[in-house]
Amino acid sequence: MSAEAVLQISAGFQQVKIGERGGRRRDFHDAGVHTRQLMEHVKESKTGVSGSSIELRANFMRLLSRPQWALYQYHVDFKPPMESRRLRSALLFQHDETLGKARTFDGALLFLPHRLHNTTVLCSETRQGERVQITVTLTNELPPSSPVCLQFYNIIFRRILRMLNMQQIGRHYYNPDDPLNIPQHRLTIWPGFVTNILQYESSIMLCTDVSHKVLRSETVLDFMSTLKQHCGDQRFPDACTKELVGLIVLTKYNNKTYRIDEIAWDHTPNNTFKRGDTMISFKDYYKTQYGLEITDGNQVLLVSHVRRMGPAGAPPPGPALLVPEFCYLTGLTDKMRNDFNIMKDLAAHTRLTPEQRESRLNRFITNISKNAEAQNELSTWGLSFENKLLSLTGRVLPAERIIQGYNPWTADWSKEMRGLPLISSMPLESWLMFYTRRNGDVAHALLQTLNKVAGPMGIRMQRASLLRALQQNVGPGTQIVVVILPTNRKDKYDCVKKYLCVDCPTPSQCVVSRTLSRPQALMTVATKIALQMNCKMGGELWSIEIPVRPLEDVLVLFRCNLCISFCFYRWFSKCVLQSRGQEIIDGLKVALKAALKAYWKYNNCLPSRIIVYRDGVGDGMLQSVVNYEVPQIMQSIKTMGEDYAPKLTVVVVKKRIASRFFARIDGKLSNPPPGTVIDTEVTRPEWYDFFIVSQAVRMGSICPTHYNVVFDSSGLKPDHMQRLTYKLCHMYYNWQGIVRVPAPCQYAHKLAFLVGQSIHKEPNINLDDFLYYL
Amino acid sequence: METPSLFSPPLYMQRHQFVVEFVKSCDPRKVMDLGCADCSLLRKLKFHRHGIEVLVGVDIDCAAIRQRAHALAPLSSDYLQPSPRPLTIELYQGSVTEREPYTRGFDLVTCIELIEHLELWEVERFSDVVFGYMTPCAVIISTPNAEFNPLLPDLKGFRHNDHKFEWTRTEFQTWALGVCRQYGYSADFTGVGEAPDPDRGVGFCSQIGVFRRHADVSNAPMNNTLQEPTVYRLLYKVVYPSLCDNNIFQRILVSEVLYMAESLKRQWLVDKQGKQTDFTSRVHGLPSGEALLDDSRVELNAERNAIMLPDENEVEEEDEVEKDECEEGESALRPMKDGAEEDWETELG
Repeated sequence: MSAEAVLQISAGFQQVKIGERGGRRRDFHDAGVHTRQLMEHVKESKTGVSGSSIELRANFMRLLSRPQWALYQYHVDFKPPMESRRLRSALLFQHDETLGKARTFDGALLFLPHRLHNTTVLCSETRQGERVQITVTLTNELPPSSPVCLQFYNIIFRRILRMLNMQQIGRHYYNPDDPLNIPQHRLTIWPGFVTNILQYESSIMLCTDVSHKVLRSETVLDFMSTLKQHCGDQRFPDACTKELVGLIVLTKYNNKTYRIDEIAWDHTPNNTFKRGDTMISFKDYYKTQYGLEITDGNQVLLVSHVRRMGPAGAPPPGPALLVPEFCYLTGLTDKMRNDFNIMKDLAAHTRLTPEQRESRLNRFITNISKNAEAQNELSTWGLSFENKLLSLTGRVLPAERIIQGYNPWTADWSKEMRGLPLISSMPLESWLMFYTRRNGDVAHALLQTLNKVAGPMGIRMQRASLLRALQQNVGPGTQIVVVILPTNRKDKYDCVKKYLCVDCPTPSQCVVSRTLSRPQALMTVATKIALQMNCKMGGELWSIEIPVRPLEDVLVLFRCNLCISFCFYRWFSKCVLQSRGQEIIDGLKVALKAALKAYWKYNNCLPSRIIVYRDGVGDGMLQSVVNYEVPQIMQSIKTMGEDYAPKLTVVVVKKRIASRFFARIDGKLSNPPPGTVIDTEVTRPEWYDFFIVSQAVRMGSICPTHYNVVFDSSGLKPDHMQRLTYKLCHMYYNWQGIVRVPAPCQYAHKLAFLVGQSIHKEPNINLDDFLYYL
Repeated sequence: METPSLFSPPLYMQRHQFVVEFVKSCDPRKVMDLGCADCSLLRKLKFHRHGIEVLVGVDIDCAAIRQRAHALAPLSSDYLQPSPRPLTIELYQGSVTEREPYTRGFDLVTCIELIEHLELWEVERFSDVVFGYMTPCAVIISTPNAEFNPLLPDLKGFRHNDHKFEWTRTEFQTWALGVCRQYGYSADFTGVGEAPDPDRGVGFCSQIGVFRRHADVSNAPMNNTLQEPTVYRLLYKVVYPSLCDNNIFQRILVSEVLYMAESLKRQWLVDKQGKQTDFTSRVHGLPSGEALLDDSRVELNAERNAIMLPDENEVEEEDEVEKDECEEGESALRPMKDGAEEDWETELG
């Protein structure tokens, strides 16, 4: 298939959109990306076959409409032409008896659920007594599954959510009347719902999932003054920037959310800005406009770069300056995320078991059906929802042979791992351990335990040289460096990693002394350290069978700073830092080339098959992946040689999705077992996509992962694609169990995290063969 | 029509500001805006609330009300920090020439640029309904000042095609004083939009009459109002969260107390430890972190945190993943038989 064909995939999809208040919106549902039709082998069927079937329930509800329901689109013309949109609506709506109650009009386009004559001429009179002739012309009859109809259902549904007195924050709606408070941290949690109505495989359905919004009942100003008390005047600006930038705030005077991008240290509410043609200070503005009094005239202002387009596609307005006193914080800061207490409290409220989740969803449906206003809205449009969750059949893939006796229900083999020999272990001959004098005891204890656990695993271990300075001691012969950090200060860790990843390429393992301080846990900890050290040096912990010859190659792309992990029972990682605005293809070429060279080095040939798992694609970004990235990947492969044409598969991996599945096990609604694949009913007809539940969870409901194969010239059967993907979820060595995404994605994520958070430079190429970033 | 450049801020804003100032000085509790149209004055008053607890808008055109009604809904922040005083906003479709029992007993009724849209005979009815039936403590009525019209460029006839009349100051004041005599009110006259200096004599662009009920005139008997039928149609009603709601009050109080207690505890711990900054001495405050070490599944991580939950657990506000404890495996999950060698390649055909 040619690159042109790929470009065509979703070109030409330009349809009318119903104008919404407040200008243009991104299409978060990725509608209109038709990739399946270009893959011959999945045109007929995209379902797999292996595994045993399982009855599931999903958080979907069918949209019911009366038979032959359609939306009629009309063009409305005014003679003489009327400028104001409000006036136009008012004039048109004088004809209730013709138009009916259900109608949507954006100034030019009118949508009705029933058919008028092809051309209807109406006469209205303005208040001034001017006669206006209105011509309503039928332009389109839209079937229920047309994109405009879908967009329209979503608009109606949002209207209904507002009728239920829910507050919109960001893209979703939350219920402020039933908050959960965590007073210790001044957190308020609003329960709410993520909803979307889309054309799924068999019917149009509403997908709705429980969501929670974390809000704080303190203003940014409160937060700043507490912070100032804690860290003192000197460190305050730094700490403040670090804590606040990136957070989303909610203002006191409107319902908009803003992301804090900067702090304007040289601005205070006494500064003025131009309003109309007079200058007004922030203080006076908020006083006269909203009756809000600024009490602290010395607070600095917050800056938010508004990216959203203005009305009618106008360029976005300049940065918004916000007054901290009028901004409430939402979400969690990194500091809170790292606080066990907060996270524990939060989890208690927000982790719902499958049963709790189902009952929340059912209550939501009941609330809609009980609300007279909402029902009225739905019935005037001739719509309703099936009031039960969708039932469907999934398949549970056979479990992988990894370790004898492991229980597939747990998706975890850490217990079984203990004391078993590894697939390949690296002899540990020259290694260093660093620790401070205070931590001497724990270091010795660790050393002893390491010796104990390493034996059964087959790792030979020499006496470690105990030294203190990295620079003096780490040489080319050093296999690995173990550093016992006295505290969990990030700068220390960063400095160790930076030196050992960039300047002196050596795998390294950092441990915080506190981890080792409890003798009971030392055995577990040491086992993990030993395993981690082994795979950092290039050892293999376990393996899966992939029944494709020649060896399967898997590549993964990850976000902007690009990593490729590469598997032929060995892992290869390359991280290419990308500056803002640089084309993805530059980094892609470098990384791909390096990976293929490494493959050549070990196998003396180039792979015949390349599979790309693309992670980190946000809502509404699919189009650009299909239109730009896929051709760029193909272009990069081309640079390896004209006659090199491997089979290529590109899979978009999505973790943050609203779809949930429940299985009825022993009469109780619970999570589906790991290995459950769903490829019917709730998938999208225009895609080659499927869901896999690959993990097991102890608390809460499981979140499946969505895989969308956007390009595939390999001809692999859907069944094999699903199986391969699931197999790869077993291969993340840092976790003795199954992870949520294929291991290459997880590795790439981990590497990107290390580079982004600690090193900030491209790691030394000598490390590319090792999983040094685990 | 008022040219926007003639006044700054625009005249309609000045009229609204006038009402806001009045509310600020007189502190009415129940306020009704007759002819509220797109509810812009109500939106303004919602922010400049002062003592207002009930805010009502009435208009004959229900489409105009419907279109902007949702803008009167509480904001998210109104829930985060509920106000100490209650507020209810209601919107009705109805005519100012009809007697609606609900409209009695208000502290302030505003009719901004309303009366000139009525026929003169309707103005009679209007006076009777507002001053004789509703009997609010205060009424603010604004209407164009016809004497100002020559100063408006390009104006022929009335300022708006729907205006049935435009009064001079004398005409307005004559009507107003008549009303005062009949219903026991007193009136002050002022306005907004001053003419430029040489023409100052023509008065304000919008003339405003502020009516106050005489203290000695008791409120009309309320008992018989109950039997009267309601004629207005309720289009929208919203009750703002406030601390007067007992549930909300309790919730907020408990939250605040617990938060303060937590802060005090933290402060006390810091003071007690003095200048000790060593990490190990702080960990006593983190019992749950310690407890985690008992879990054999703790992930030892090379991140800045020594112990972390498995990093698949990107816990956002969402619930997610944790591991453990076996259930009996089902037959479906048994590993494939060892003999079953597979070859996907050959299956491709």
